Amino acid sequence: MMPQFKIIFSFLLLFYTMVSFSQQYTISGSLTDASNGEDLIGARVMVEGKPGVGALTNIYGFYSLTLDKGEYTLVYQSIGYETKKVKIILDDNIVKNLELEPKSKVLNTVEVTGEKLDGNIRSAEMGVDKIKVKDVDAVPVLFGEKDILKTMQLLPGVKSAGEGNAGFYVRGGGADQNLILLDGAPVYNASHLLGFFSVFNSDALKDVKLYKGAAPAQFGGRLSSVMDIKMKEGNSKKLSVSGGLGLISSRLTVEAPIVKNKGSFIVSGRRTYVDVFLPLMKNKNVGLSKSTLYFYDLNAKANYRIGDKDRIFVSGYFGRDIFGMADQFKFDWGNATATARWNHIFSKKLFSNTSFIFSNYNYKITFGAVGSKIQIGSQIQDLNLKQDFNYYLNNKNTLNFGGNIIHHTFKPGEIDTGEDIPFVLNDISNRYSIESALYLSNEQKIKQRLTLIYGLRYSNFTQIGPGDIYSYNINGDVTDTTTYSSWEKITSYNGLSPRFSFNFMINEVSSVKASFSRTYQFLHLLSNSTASTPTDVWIPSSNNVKPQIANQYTIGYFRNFKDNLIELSTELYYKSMINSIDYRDGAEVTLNPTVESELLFGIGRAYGVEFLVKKRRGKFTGWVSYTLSKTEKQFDDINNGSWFPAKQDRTHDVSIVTIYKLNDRLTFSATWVYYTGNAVTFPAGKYMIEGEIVSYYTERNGYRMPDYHRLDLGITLYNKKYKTSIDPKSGKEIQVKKKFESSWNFSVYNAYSRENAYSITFDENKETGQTEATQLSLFKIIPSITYNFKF
Amino acid sequence: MKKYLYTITFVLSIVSCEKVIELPLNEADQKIVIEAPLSNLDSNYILISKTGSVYENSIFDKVSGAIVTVTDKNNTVYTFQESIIGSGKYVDTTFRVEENNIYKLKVIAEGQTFTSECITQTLTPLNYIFPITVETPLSTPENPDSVKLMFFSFTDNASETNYYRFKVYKNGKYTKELYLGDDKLINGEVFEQPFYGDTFDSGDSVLVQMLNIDKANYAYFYSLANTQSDSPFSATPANPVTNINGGALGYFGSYLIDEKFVVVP
Repeated sequence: MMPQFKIIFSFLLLFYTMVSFSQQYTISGSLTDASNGEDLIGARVMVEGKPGVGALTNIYGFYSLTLDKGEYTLVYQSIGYETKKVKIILDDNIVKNLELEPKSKVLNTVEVTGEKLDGNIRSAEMGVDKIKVKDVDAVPVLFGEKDILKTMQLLPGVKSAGEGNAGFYVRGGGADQNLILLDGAPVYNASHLLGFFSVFNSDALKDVKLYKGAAPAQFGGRLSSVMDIKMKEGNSKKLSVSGGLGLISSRLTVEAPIVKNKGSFIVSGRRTYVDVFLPLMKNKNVGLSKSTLYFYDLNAKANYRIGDKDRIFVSGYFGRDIFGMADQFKFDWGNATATARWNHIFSKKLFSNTSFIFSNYNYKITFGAVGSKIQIGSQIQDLNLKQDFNYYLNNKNTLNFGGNIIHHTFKPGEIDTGEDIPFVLNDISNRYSIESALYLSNEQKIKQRLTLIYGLRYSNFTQIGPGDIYSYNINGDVTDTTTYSSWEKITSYNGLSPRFSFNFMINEVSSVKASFSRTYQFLHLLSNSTASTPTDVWIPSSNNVKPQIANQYTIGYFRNFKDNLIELSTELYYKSMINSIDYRDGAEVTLNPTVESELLFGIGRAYGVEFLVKKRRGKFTGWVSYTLSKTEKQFDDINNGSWFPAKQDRTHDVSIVTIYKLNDRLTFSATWVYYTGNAVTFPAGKYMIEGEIVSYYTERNGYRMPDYHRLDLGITLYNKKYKTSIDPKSGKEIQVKKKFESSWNFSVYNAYSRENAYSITFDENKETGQTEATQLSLFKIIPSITYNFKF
Repeated sequence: MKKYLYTITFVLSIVSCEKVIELPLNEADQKIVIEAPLSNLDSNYILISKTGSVYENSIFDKVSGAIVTVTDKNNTVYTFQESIIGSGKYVDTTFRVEENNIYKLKVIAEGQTFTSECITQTLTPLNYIFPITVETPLSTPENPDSVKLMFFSFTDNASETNYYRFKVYKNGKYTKELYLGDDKLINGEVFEQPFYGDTFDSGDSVLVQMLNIDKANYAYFYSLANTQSDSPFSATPANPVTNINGGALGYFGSYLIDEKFVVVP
């Protein structure tokens, strides 16, 4: 059968001999979407009549299944696609590439997440949330800007850092403890416009996976979570153009085959145009009319198949925010990432993925006139080589192993002064480091009901020269300076992070899972303010800053009802953290060469319970999530050394997401969120210094902001997808799918206009001389409209 | 940077709203506040007061009857006396801060003892100050718009780690803008810059004081500015880092001050 795919490598006989004693053969291949050639991730390959035996496609759509010699019927299944059954005679190793047709006519269903129906029960993975971008189109968002990062925050255990902040907190971790990967490249600052939008243009994205618990051993370097974002590959069947016009931005995406079915590309761009309207406000504020304030994004990706065994991907992202006032002041910041990736199928069982990754984040501030300009800049840049292998040992064991090496360059402060300026500002010296890791993990089916994932990741972080390295005493004074030459080792840290999880299926519809993981973080984001700002700076672990370490324990119960229509899960977690970072009171964190002396180190703990009920199919879909949690920190020099609630401590956090698909043309959606206000510090008294009133504080984070809640509503109206025409052959009227599809999206953010507190300040009333608490709310009701099209 | 934050704040204000709310607070026990800005100039004084309740009038209790002494490195003891009983203001008209000295403060008030120490190095003087007219970002050829800024210049002492504070007085009145700097990026350089926070008109008389301060005072005023701001871009609220031991709020400084005066033409 299919002799043209029969490929035998002599050097791979070694692998065969390991498992061939029972006369087993392997069927492997790729699954793609028949309409556009996109890889199908997490699709299921099952064997009819053999429950519990099967395989899943990896993130490149590749699967591998080893069975005893014999005849089988394989069932290929992916949500939203027609199931395909294929009969095979397995008397040799087979390659079987398949395309699945999307379920075009079943328009009444909106799947909230992709993947197999009972995957939540069967998989040993815990604390994983997956979102397919196209499935959350209907969820209403601020200004109608689809934002995958904001939608993720509606899931249990994931908390928004607040309005006007794209950051998020996972299970009590800080906003810098999330590893955000775009096609494998870390994105160091995921927010635009000071956090009102994320840098991820949903048009260019395919799916997002967030690991809150024990992340696979291939990921490391952050304490709390891994958000793995995949860009679309581009339509390999035909040219396709899509886009949207919104109130504050427009988007355009072009995708097309390079060679049909062999390769494709996608280019997607977005730009906001708030600044276009600024001149209109001329009468109100002259300064604003000469200001610029916008951002843009460009995503591009291309892939090409070379034969059956090799595939090459190149992808990149470039985005920038620009803020300027005439030509006197300019402030711009943004990320650039690039990934070159080579997939190679060594054998039916060994899949390899080699990536070369570049990532950069920088900001520049320029002020002054020509000749007397001063430019201040800062950046972090990574070069990363990563090698991953999937080895499908047999149908009980799947091994993942590999490693990576990253070269980090930190430029905390580069300062250029114009020629007319009589003095020179010294740069803050650069820092360099090498972060490397090796990992091995195995997913093992012990019995039909018991699956284990266990692995080990070894990581090393070495700070290297050149540079002057300071030592500090307990008061933060420099006591010693040592000069190191290029590539000279300054400090080195090693970390062993074990990952373990198990899934015990109680029956076909319920399971119990537990996991343990240890994570290390060697890079730290210094952000001393409430809001996330572009000038927040990343620093490496060093002789003064130890890596942060977290241990997390989780246990969960998963149960599906009504033929997997309703999914219920609950997870309990406990996390302890050491070497957590905080700041000396009033610390100076920007452009400070001795910034390490401003840091304090302590410990943290976070625990909680998460509940999720999700309805996945039907006209009415959505979920309810609830988290009850506590996050605390302890530092010798803060709050007299006693435990205090972390800023991200939220006792209650509720999200309700509902999507109602009335018919082919009309979808309604609503989301409601509620959470306990952030822990904040309010004054306990006041006094006078230099004739000014100064607040007196006694307790760190001893108060709460008022509870936050908000309702968002959305309506999406699709233009008719089908038109009636006469079939030239039969002369009958038939329904033909229109080439041009379009939709209108109306949304209302904060529908009942709740005045949620963004900040509370204590000021003197100028008239009465009385001190008052003043609450600032950012967004009251905000309606918006977006037009989307595709052809 | 400040302008940028202002504009962001303005953009936010289009959609945002502010209101005064009722917010009960747990009041702390009263604490002693010591303010001791001593210098090489005349009329040195030390203020001792107490904290008050957040929602009450900003009239604070003064501390009378305290024993206040300052000792220099030669063990000369200066005793500061309350000038008017009940004012909480303690003075010693003979006292002047000198270069390369160490000063120790001791305050005994209401049964508590507070101590502090502050050093001086050498006096870095101002080279000059001069007003310059600069175009603003709003200026266009049709509608020229300009402001007068005050530039200042000094030469940093390369052999010392220096911290500076500047005070600008316009027509005899302190402008309350807090200008702080250190020499981490400009060690040994001739530095020149305008005071971005103040603008002037023709005829204004301007006095600029350059205060040579120590690290602890720099940290105090830096953290004062950073922790007391209302902006969400500023740091977690906290008390400024005091250099006084014994549980008092405030600071003790021994400053070397150089002054320059101009009338804006």
